[in-house]
Amino acid sequence: MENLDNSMSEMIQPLATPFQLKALGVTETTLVETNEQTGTKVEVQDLNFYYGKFQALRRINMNIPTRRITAIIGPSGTGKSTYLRLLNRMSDLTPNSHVEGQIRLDGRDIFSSGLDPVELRRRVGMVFQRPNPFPKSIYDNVAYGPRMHGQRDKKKLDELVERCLRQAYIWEEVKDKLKISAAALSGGQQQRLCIARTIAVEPEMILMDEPCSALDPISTIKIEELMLDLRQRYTIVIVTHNMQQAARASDYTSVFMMAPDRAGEVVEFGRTRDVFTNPKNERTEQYITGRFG
Amino acid sequence: MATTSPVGQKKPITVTGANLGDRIFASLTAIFAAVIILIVVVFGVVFTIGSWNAIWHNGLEFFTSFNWPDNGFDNPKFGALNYIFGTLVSSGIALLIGGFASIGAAVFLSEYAPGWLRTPLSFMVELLAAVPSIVYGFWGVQFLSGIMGGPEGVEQSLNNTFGWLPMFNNLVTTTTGRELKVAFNGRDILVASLVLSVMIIPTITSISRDVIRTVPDSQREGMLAMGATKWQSIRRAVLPFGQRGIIGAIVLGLGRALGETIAVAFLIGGASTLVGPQNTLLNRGETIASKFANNYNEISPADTNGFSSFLELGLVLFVIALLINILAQWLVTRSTAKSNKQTQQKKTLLTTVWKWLLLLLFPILVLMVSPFLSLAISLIIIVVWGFFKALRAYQVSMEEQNKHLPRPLELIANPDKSYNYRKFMNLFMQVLFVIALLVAIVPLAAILILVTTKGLPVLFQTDFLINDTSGRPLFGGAPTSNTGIAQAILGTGVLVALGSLIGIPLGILAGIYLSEYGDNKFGQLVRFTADVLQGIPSIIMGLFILTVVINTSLFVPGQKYNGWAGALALAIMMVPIITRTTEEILRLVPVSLREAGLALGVPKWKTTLTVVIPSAISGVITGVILGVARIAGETAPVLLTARGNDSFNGLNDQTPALTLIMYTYGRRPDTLSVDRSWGAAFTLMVIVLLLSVGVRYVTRSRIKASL
Amino acid sequence: MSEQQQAQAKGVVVQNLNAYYGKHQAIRNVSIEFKPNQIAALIGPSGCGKSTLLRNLNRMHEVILGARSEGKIFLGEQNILDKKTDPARVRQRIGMVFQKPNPFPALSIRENVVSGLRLQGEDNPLKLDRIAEESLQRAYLWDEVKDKLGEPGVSLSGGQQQRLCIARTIAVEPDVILMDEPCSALDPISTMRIEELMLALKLRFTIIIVTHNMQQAARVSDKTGFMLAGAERTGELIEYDDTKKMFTNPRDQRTEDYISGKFG
Repeated sequence: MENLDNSMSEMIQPLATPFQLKALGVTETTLVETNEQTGTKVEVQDLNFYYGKFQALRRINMNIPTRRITAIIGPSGTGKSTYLRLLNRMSDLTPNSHVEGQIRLDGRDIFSSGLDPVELRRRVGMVFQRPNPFPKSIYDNVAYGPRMHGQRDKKKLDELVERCLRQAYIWEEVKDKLKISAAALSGGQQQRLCIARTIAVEPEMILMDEPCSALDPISTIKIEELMLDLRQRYTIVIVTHNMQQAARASDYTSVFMMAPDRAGEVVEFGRTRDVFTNPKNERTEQYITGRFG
Repeated sequence: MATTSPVGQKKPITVTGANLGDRIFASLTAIFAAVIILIVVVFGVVFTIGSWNAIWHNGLEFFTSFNWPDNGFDNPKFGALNYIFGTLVSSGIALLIGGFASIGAAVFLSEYAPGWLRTPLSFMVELLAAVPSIVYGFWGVQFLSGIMGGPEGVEQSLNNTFGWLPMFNNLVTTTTGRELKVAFNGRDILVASLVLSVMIIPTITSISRDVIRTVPDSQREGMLAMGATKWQSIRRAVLPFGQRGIIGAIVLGLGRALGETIAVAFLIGGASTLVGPQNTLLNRGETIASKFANNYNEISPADTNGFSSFLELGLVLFVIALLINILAQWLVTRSTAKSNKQTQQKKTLLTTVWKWLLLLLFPILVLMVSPFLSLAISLIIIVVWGFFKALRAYQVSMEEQNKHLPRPLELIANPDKSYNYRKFMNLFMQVLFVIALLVAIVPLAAILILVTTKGLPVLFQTDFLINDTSGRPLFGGAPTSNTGIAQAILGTGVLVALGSLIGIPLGILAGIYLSEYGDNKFGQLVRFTADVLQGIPSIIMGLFILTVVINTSLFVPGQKYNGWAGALALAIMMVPIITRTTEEILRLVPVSLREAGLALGVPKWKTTLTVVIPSAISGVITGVILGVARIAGETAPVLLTARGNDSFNGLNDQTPALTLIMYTYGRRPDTLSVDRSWGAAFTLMVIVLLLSVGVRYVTRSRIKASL
Repeated sequence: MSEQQQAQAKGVVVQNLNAYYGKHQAIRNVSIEFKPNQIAALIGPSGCGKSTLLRNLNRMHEVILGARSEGKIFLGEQNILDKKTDPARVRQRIGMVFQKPNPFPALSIRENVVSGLRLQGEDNPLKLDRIAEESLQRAYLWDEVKDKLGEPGVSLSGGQQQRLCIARTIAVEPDVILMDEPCSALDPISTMRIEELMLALKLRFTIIIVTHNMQQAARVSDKTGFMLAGAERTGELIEYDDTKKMFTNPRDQRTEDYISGKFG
């Protein structure tokens, strides 16, 4: 049995490293332009989250910078998605749960009673793990949000739909078939459509919950390019399983780990390059190099 | 940045959030959901109070005596044993035959049928689920009775061949000890049971098929990839996965059989009060439901004891239906709990025998009609099975000790035996499924053809669709000698329209409440009461409205039968159907779509109305159509409330309906009456089928356009 | 344990395989040889027919309505695409692990593992216990589940469920194990576990894996095949060679583009 293990690690090691280096190589190019500091969009302070009695998140503190991509990585079950869903209070839908602590969006606590979660979600959009277009036409998918918020002018809607589809890099592929059902698109196209739908309501911030996990590599690359472009206008927080993705397409990275009682904690938060090249925490290092477990 | 004590600041999360529109919408739907609870509470109160008198008066004799006097004026005691017995036996046989055929047909349709056959057959089964039960009863009287009864009939030959079995005996004993010979006239428990079997087939088949289709392919493929034969993958992956839904379908079918009034009343009208519970299936009988229909003229509040006893009878039927629902729930949870607990403890012979006994319990109950037979059969099965089990146990112990088996046992333990056995079973079951499909489809096709060939020509008789049954043209003009059914078509239309007007909004809104806000105690209560309401046999619903509306002169003075009461009964009938289908369909809409809407900053109520419901609209409409088709074909509740009429005089008077025409004229011997009934049957069937096909087509093409 | 594990498995040879869904041809003229006791990986973009090829190997392809295939596939001496061959027997020899873990929800963990044996009519509880334990140990799952064998299989985590499915597959002692993106629904740590497991299992079985993840192919496989679909969406085998050679020095330009991420 031991022999086996040895032979195995021999096999994995030499091959695994070049790939990761290569992945890191990509970040060198993408990070150059983002060196100057921007403001803070969201301040998270001493956040705890419970399902019933089980604590899912413990003492999360994080300042999410404006118009940057913040990646959240970590093993399964460490509360990454839970955390993301707290940022626009989608967590309200989870029964038997409660929150402690504060999340301040532009300085205002999103849990304060005066704030309507509906309004919050308009300002903080979300893209889900699996593409979830409505069973409506492509056009209606994008126009849905603006219509619900009172935009009835056909002409303005047309313009808006085109602009959003262009921003989501999907206009060229669908401009001749706006009236067909969104279900007819491929998975990658659907996901870009969902992004177009999200930016159509002009949010300030976009949350992405493993947006590429259901997609093939080529669609993934498209979405990553799109994210880097969207960063100029929106604050983006992305949860991902894929460390290369975090390394390629984020400015800041936060690493979630599980405490012994299975509560999720942030063990590392900083510039992506720092986290990947020079992690402060030993577990982060092990996780990033794939030796964790 | 350390602010003081943010920790410990608990935020209770409300389901609806703080949005005002959401709160209003949630409360609105909750009110409609509460109406369902209210109906059931009133129902319970009315029946308990109403039958209180009879319960004390009749005492236990109600369940032990089979003497049901014509009226209660001389203060006699009422005994319902005959009817309870008839109900259980006929439903039991129907369940055995119909259940086997339907599940086999459902498996065939979803697993075996080639693509070109799948769609048309499934479509046909779904259509037939909408055919009103009175059509089945009418077919039974006009066609099946003829084949079964008479000196040349099937019953006579059954008696000749199997007469030694108690259930095919031709002698019954009266209370005075005299033996009577049964006349094989084709109107007896056996024929009624057969009609019930055919009647419940489309319901069980179409639901089971839907359930089986929801079993994910990964389950089938998982089994197949382990080297399972087709039959094994069905038995071990498909059926266990769909178990819950299939049991639900069977219970629904059984509920229909239990409460079926008219089809049975047609066939076995008027059991003799002189004959006790009988072994033979070839004699007349009576079920609880048919008792109401056959004696609907005698149910009058003036006869206090009699009326109260009828209410008690209704209560008993309701309790039986409820018990069966609870039993099914228990079966489902038990099987889930069992698989959770199933540890690797070895089953002892005793526990397995017990399990098999439980499985045999139902057939045994059914065959109670002939205790001798059922006992013998179950004994033989247990002995044979036990023998094989013991043989296998011996073989295992020999294998464990590495000893050679005796020569004959070696033959059995041949490794290829299991493979050949599997291949054989695979083929055998495939044949069995085809047979089941034929058993299910052939009578149904026969009904369609017969009703069409007999009913269609009648429609072309002079003035048949213009005149009413008294001979007057519906829209004015001089009376002629030609009679028709125009007033009944109008009556059915008005009753159904009015019923739908109340029932559809109530049902849909309550369904929305259950699926979107109903994950709490109140929601569970609504769900339970909706199920109870759905389980109430339609005749009992008629009795309920009769008591609450007509006897109290709620809408029309003078305790007069009227159309308003009929429409109300129909509305209440359709509410639980629509509520539960709406809820189930809306729950199928993926959470991700709801979340997508919410994440765009759209309030929940708007998301529900603009995303969730449009995504499921075809399913919701299907539920509505099911409800409408169901009440259009209802006879029993209208019989006790609207009563029928030979002309249409507005809803304040007795109101005609197609089903009532069939019921009133269907058993009369003269050609005119029989023609009228065939005509009414055909018209009713066309209306119901058009409703199903037409609206489904419309929704389908609309969905296609939007997708 | 070792003696039993070192057994020689059978290889699979595919000759001129064409597979269709209705009128659409999914793969064209694929010939490929999978050597015994090796791990072969099939990579390529979505829709290139790699899963279709895999599903042909144990005749799961024909389960889909309207699907059919032509050509020859040999397991040892036997042509498994032959009309006379019973697919149930083929699948007993060639097991399969699916993309999403699919334990049977109605069955306990133990029953899930022995379900294949039960299908074959084995009902000796002692033997079943023994095989269940052995298979779970070989799937590196025994320590995690030994105290809860009676609980339903779906109560496990995703990674554990996938290993349960592997245990279920090896319990019937097949020659070949097919894996259709077995890790795509799992997190990195579970993925790592499964990869370790594959390397251990190849001593006993022939393993063929379809994966999206090139790193995974590079880490675990001995041979790698690259498939690609043309404009008419019919997949072809572009290149099949030793994994090291494929990733360092591929013959075909398209392979190099895909592996270096330039593709698309």
